[in-house]
Amino acid sequence: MVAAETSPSAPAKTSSAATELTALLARRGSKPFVARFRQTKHVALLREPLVSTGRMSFEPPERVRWEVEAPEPFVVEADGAKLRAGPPGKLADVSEMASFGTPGALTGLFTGVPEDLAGSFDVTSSGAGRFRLVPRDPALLRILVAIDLDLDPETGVPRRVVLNEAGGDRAEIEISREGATAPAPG
Amino acid sequence: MLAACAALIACAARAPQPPAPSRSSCAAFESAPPAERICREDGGIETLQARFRADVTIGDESRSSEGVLLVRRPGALRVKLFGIGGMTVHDALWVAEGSSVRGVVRRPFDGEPLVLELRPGERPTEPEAGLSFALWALWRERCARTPRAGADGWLDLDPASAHAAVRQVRVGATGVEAERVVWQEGAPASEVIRVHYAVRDCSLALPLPTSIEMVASPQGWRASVRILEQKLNLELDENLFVTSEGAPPPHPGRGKAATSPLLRSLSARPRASRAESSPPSLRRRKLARRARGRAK
Repeated sequence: MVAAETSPSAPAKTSSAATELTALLARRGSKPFVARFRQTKHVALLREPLVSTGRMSFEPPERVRWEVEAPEPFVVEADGAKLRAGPPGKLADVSEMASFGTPGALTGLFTGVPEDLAGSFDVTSSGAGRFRLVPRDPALLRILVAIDLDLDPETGVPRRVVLNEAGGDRAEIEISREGATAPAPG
Repeated sequence: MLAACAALIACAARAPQPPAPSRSSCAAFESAPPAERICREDGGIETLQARFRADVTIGDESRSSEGVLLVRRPGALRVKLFGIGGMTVHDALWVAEGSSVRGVVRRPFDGEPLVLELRPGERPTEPEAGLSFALWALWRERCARTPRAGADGWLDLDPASAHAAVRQVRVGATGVEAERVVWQEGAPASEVIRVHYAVRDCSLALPLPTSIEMVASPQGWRASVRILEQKLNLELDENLFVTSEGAPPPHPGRGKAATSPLLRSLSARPRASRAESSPPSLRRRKLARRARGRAK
């Protein structure tokens, strides 16, 4: 009964949310970006989450630096498909196989509108700048049940990204607004 | 009232009993005889949670991952590795069940879980399962019998709890500083794992190492593990160590090859060669198949 009442309106709402998200990402475009982040890993059934903090920057077209400061300094640099990682000052190349898609995942946060957004995800909105993306690809759904995005409704800059994993774990990345629109240092 | 008291007493009896707090457990260890430096961990640790960074090299490929190690004595161990952004990229669980040890190794980016049941003397041949199984063996009881003096300064331990043929340690001022486990005595060196422990955390009730170097060079992997945080004898949810019900429910996509470009790039490890290299005595079953069987 509930399904019968809600299903006719659901596709329209989803379509509208995907359009809204696409417009917001297009408005943001691909701009330099510097911010602090706080990554909170909630491991299913563990009482306390694992917290990391640090600094991140993005330089168009595809260069991202992800610098963990605590609990242990560690740097990841993605430039296109290339990935380097290691302790500060000792970065080494990382093979594609060992990267777990990191370059694409990192740059995808900042580089305009993903191709075929509505075709790849079922997008719903829960308020201004807040979206839930559910993968349509069963293989991806096996890994990720949903991505929650909280974007600045004016600028489209990401404020919070939550990766809800199929195994019950959850990774939450909060991005501070301070410096969020400042250009990255050369 | 009596029932409440009884329940409290029962809970107290089950709760882990941590060793008395010490300002410097290293100093206390230095005055202890060698056997005690080896064996004190057996009685002093019931559970452990450690956050770590591991640099793992398999063949020519190196990978650095943060992760969490969960141990519940006597025989359960879970290791999770996280990618950048915090996604879980590896989840291995090993639990002793009777004379066997059951392992479930999930790699979400690489299709179906690997499910193994190993009898004493067996070890996984898959590199992705080798490291976590080695950790399971190393966390097993060291002093089921009193350590005996062996050759070249090594002390021989009872290897049975680690499902091994030989287990030896060298002891330093604050605890075990090297360990060697051999799964098949007289077999080629491929059955050996060597471990070096260093940089003790003297603020813990037991001075556990924070730097662990593991080498299984003939098997083609080595690991350098740095402990970032660790807690002893905390309460861990029992469901963390359930090998069957803890499996995620069957999903329409389970077992399918990854189809997106991103996922294709993540599932590059050749799986056929792993199966071919497995000894016939290992019993592998697909998790989904097992789940279906239980549901009947």
